[in-house]
Amino acid sequence: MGHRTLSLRLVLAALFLDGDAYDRLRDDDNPFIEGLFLVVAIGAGTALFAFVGRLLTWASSPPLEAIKQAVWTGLQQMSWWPGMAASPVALAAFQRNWDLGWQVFPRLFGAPDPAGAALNILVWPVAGIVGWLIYGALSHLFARLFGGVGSLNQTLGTTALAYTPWLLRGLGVVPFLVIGGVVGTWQLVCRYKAVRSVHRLSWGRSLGATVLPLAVYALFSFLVSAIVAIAIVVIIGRPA
Amino acid sequence: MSAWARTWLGAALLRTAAFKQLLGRRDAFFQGFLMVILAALIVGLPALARGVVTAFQPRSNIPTSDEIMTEIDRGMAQFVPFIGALPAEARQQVFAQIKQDVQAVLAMIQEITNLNSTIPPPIRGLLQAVGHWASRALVDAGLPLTTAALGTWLGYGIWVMLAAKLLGGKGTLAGFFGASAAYAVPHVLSFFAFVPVIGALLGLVGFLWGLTVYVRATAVSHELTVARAFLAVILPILLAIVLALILLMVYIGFVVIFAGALHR
Repeated sequence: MGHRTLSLRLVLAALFLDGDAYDRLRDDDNPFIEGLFLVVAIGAGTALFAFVGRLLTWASSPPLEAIKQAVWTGLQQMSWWPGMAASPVALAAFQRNWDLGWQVFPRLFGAPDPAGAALNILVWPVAGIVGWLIYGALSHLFARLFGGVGSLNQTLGTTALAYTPWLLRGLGVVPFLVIGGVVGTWQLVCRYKAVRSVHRLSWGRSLGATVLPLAVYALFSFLVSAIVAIAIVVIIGRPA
Repeated sequence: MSAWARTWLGAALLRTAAFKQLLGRRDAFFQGFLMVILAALIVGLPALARGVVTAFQPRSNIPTSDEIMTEIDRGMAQFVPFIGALPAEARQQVFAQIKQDVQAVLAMIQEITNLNSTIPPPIRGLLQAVGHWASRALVDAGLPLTTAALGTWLGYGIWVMLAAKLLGGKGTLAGFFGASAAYAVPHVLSFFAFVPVIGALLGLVGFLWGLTVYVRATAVSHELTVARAFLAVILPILLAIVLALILLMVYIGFVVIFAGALHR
């Protein structure tokens, strides 16, 4: 059993950009294991807090079906309704889109969904691990290309500390709280600290190794979107 | 006054010694985080109080649809000179339709508001007020540095940090963020935003004062001249504007080419 470096104090120090925290995890006998534990613990813990907040939001909101019915009744009082309702075809098409819309949009705009929030207790740690491993491997690759000296084990360990801003997600325990993009920005800053600590590169090279994996993500997303778009065009364009 | 408050006040008054004191702290970033959160929470207090009062207010105190309809009538009357060419009968018909739709929406809102939830309405209102108050400290809409919020402090800060480094700055991340958080202190003036006219003026003063503090913090933390620090602060927004203009021109170019091809 190796030495345990991870502690709440270290996590908070890493969150608030204390360079010593990154150096200490870098010098641990097995930074990867410490990092893995951290990502899982933060992912599951914050999802649990967010679940409580979501549950409170859900309990504070009227049932979605009742809202849907109230809006439907309201629409029937609108000036354009009689004209549209006069045509059975138009009314049927409207009703179809209406039902479909209520299945898609409430989820899209963050309607309280306790089941989804409960599922996040599993999803967030798994997503965290996948994202951490991919980012860690890519940033290590770029850092080594730029002349970095750290090992993959060290890179993975310290980049796991960049998951400490996920603690902000735990503030989701407060119902109706909007966190926004702060977590992503903070994470980027922590990742820079992690890469710099492990690979001892200049600020410019460290920045390159921190940002280039994100450029790879963007390129990959673009390629996938293009392939999907081409596939849709080919399928739609094919004669029946 | 505690040493902590004195340091932040000193930084807000552009005293170099106060900035150096912040830079010298090992927990400079944490201190900056605390300052931004505190300023944002203070600014949000009047809105929180309003939200709490509304939550426990009897429903009769909420503007009724009659009051709103009177306002709409007044608004439509002001609109008449702009649609003078429209025959009076058609105009009346359009206005009647608008009023019918607005009344339907108001009735809809009223019905949704009256729907029952597991948690009773006053507690729901209280939770909403607290949630919105806390959200304001994390993310607040507006141009960079116009509000005290974590989103703008970090989100704009990383670009200023990069610009400062490119201009020869020597600051550290923690030091720069710690010192630059002093920009949030003058934003406390936005606490009075609810006061007509004076509130807006104080908000403007807070923004300009905060911007000055931000430039000074950048200069001190990166050991740059004030001119270079100012350039580092405005460079990200200037680049964003130039980029937006280029994208707009490319978009217009595409539209013109496409429209030309269709016309031919």
